[in-house]
Amino acid sequence: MKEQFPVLETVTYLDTAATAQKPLRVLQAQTAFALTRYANVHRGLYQLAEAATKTYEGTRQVAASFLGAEKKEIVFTKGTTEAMNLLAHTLPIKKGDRIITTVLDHHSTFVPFQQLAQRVKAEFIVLPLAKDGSLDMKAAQKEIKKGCAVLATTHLSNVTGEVLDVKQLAEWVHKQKGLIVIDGAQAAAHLKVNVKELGVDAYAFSGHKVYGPTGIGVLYIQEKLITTLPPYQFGGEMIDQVTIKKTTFANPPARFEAGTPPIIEAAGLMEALRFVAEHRDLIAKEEDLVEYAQKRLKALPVTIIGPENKTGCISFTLEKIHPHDVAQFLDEQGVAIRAGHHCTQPLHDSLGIPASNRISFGVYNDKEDIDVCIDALKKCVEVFDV
Amino acid sequence: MYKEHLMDHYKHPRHNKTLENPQAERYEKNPSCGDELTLQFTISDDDIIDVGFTGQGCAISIAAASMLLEELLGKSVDDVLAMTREDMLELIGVPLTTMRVKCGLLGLHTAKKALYQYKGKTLQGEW
Ligand SMILES: Cc1ncc(COP(=O)(O)O)c(C=O)c1O
Repeated sequence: MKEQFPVLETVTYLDTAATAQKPLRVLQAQTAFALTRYANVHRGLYQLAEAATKTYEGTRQVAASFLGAEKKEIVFTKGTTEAMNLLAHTLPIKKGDRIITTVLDHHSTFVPFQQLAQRVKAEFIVLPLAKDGSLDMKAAQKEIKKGCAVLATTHLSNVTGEVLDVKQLAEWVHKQKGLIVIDGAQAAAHLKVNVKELGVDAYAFSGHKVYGPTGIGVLYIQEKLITTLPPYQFGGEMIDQVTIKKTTFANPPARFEAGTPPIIEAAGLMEALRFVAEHRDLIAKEEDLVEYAQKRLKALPVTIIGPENKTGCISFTLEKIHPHDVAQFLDEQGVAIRAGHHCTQPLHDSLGIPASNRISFGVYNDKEDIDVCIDALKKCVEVFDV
Repeated sequence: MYKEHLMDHYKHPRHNKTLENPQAERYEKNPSCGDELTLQFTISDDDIIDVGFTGQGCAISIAAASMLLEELLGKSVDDVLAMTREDMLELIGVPLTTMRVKCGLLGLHTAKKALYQYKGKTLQGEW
């Protein structure tokens, strides 16, 4: 596996939750497309444009299958962040409605929906964590029962590694006739997702976290909802007819794809989604890595954040050493880990810490990477002498 | 980056104390990483005759504050206000990565704010 990722010869990379390294085959697919089939999509009448459109729309089909959805329910975005902004600007939320999110949420979900609440004077409810660091499902049920126009949250936390019970949340929300929109940025790389089984109304992820390119993401919006939503941005491609007096809009998904889309990136994304689908066995093995890493970490003076059961990542603080010092020290030992608030300031505030360290895993990581990281952490504890 | 000199200042910060009657005092925080510093100065005839700091943060911000105070003791207020970020980075002595420059400069930023305030002015611009 590692030979698909030449950069891993130079660094022990444990920051896949921030972005995944790209396999050669994804870059090659992208390059081959750009060199032989590239043109603008949905425009030219010539064969090259036809070929490019075929690839672009082919990726939409692959993305739909990846999520267990229909092609017409798939919108390409810049990434999860843009998807959440699109939803926060188009969902039918009005004054006095209850918008619910959680303290776990990434700023890319938290902030668009917080701002929406402020814009339309809706109520903004932030669900807390339970004592064990998992989402407080009792509080969730109670708050949803009081009314819920939309629940926006994550499928898999990029800090605690908790997989939320999205299916259960969806049931509760739908009982209130609300909508549930899910940030799948982390989940798409680690879990096999089926949006119909989960019963969600919208689901978003980013290409770059599933071994694909930056600049492209996937947003699923269930068919009934997508046909009712107004446009998010205006311009080429998203129109039906334009006159001096008025404009009518194309049907979804084109309605939500104004302007020239990330075409070359779509070719890369197709290959990346195939890569993920072909490596489900290796992805399943990441669970063992998480368990092994957690066991080894616990032998150090650490506080681990969140519940015991984790997928994809482990966040922690080393006693008395600032997370930035830890990450910097490890970098000097050739180990790349994250330090900061990981775009979850409300979560870190609720824990009473400004920052934490995080190690996260991808298909290319093995036990040796964890051993190297643990050795470096041990050395860090020694040098900082705590 | 974590050379002996820097680690020595981090583990044994100089002037890590609270002053009785400081003429200038300032608290500043680096919101991106949570580093916090309070700097105090005893000033006589515009000369800094005693210094103290308390705070918490990463090794870079604490060590840099310690090195800075060691340097400032005995200087005039105007000398300190004339110090540049380059002076501070030179004082730290090891090259900082972009992300850590702010940690290294927190001390100087806080000192300048304190001393501008002492002179009845406010510091213009970013650090
Ligand atoms: C849980 C989660 N949600 C959303 C995002 C935002 O993704 P992007 O920056 O690709 O839009 C990230 C990563 O940054 C994430 O980890």
